[in-house]
Amino acid sequence: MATPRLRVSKKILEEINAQIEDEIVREFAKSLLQFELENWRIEKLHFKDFFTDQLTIYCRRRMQKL
Amino acid sequence: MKIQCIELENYRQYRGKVTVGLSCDSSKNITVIQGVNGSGKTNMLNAVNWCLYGREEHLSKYDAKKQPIINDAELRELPTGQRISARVTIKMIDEKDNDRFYQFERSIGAKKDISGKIIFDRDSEFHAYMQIGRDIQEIRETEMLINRILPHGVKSFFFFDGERLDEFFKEERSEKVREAIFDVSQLYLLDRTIEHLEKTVSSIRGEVKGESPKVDEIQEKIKAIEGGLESSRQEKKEKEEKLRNIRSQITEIESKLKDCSESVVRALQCQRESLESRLGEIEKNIGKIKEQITDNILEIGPLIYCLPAVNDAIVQIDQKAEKGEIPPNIRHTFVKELLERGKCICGTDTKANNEARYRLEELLKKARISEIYEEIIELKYILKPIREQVAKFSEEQNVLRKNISSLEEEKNKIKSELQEVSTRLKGINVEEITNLEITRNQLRREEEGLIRDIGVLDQRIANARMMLDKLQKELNDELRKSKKFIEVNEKLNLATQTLNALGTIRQKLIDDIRNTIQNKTREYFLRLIWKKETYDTVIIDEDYGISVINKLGSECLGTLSAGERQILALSFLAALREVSGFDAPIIIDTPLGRISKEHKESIAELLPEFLKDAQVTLFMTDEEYTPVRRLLSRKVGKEYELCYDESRSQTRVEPYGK
Repeated sequence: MATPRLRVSKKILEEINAQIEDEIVREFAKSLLQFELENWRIEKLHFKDFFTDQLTIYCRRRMQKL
Repeated sequence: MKIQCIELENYRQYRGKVTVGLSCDSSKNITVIQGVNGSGKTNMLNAVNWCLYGREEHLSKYDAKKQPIINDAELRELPTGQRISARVTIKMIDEKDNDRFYQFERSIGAKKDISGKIIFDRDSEFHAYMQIGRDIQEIRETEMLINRILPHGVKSFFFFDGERLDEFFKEERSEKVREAIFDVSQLYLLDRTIEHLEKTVSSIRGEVKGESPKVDEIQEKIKAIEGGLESSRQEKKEKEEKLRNIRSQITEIESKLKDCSESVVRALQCQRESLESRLGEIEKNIGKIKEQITDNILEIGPLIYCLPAVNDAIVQIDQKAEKGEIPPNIRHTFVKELLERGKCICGTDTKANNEARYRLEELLKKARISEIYEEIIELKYILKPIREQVAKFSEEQNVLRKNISSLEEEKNKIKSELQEVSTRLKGINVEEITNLEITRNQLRREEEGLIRDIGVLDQRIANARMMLDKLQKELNDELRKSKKFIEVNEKLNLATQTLNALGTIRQKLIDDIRNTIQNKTREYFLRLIWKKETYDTVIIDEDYGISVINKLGSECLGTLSAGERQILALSFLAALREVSGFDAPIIIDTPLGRISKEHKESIAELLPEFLKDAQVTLFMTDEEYTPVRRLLSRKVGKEYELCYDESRSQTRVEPYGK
């Protein structure tokens, strides 16, 4: 059994690329949207762990860059 | 994404196995399936919906209640103790993904027990398969796959019944347009991400408790506001849901009144609809004039405060001109230069403290005004129009107020006419009608109350957001003072930046998408509509209300004929499809059903152009297809005819004209 991958709309991605200059913020935003899309149908989604982990990962990446 | 073929097995009137291959040729992207009423056109659309989404949304009331999904002749002839099933299979290819193959299959079974009673399975079975490399694998997350191709919320803009299209703009239209725009552009996704990120930020902030009394104090405030914000949001959601329910109940009551056997009831309901449409128009116009009054006050208000100073300046300039001080006889810079040089033009020495120097110094004092002379003259020309503008302002405001009061007068008149309609409906000597009218009035009152409450909640949410922004900045400043919280502070910064960016993107997308859909709908509508001299434009306002404006500048959506509303809906759907980015096939049942004969041609000519990149399947009656067949022929890749054999309860699919 295989699992398909959903795609965030091209328009939203284009807008993210155009509006967000900071690469870290851009990638962080995309990762959150992808997560939401893949869990779209789940009413009571446990999002906090994923969001906090992603925030930590991207924040450390940013601090390393600095 | 294209449908290669639809296979129907014992599904409603499709007895045995029937396969319909659709045209996958991009230059001939249309498939026409023609058949008389009752031959199975709508049921083929239902089959596609049932296979992919498990629901048949275009059933007639009779079919929904009486007819089983499995072919009734097969059920009748089923031997005792045997099973039978109906199955719909859809095979698709994704051209944009190396012709990747997909297959969807839904089936439902039934068994005849010993007593001859047919027992149907409770649920249907659904399987989806996808090509991965050279293999075809079954997909676990079927719903996810369907969502990727065409989400449930968007499907009604791709698979639809042309005859019901005119209903699209009749009731709750702004809510439907808003939902459509949000669905096709995944704006709900942005909303959910923003909401979850805000909650995450709030829990991270909780980690820094106990650092300093100041931090704790700010945290407490943030917590309190967030609590209020959350409950306001929740309350708003509940009220919106309630509002939707109330509106659908009102629609149901109104359609019952409209379909009532008593002609007087039908007439009164029609009268009410037209009065309410006019009332909506008037309220919109009053709103626009009020906006204009506010804009004028904002523009002219500061000038009114300055008016005494402006008048005084004009008087002073005039006085100086009268006294001959402006324009000056001699330039200030020239006299100053003579004094600096120490020699007059006549050769007299002015270095020494003599009479000549004294005269020049006196002249310098008088000529001082010359330095700003040009500005003074210019100022006079700026000040005078200001005075005129202020004088005009009150005139204009009076005209606008008069317009408002005449509109208010008309509004009150319409309201009392509406009251009269309602009283007459309540007075009709049929208990059901009286009760419907009483319930409708109660619902309308509830609707008004809910709209007011939602407005208050919106304001409360906006204020809370503003306060939160301020407090977050204060908290960040405090945290910056402690090394211990460098990472937490960074996290909060990153999250806040992301939230701000997503908020901006959301608003920009909403505006862009609304504008694009508005422009495309307008373009298509004005090209398709035959009364080119009547209609001027189509507007989708900020509340997603759609208006059609005629050449006289009046809103006329309420007066469009059923056919014109169908054209507006087709234009809107073509625009939505283009903006959505979903590359799903389009299936339209009876696309030209309500369009008068002479206008079918212009639609047949232009519609393929608007839907040029999509695979289009049209289910048409002979009356629809014959007049436009020649026009469509260059775009039609496949043509079929549905032939229903009543004696066998069976529809056959034959090549057209065989």
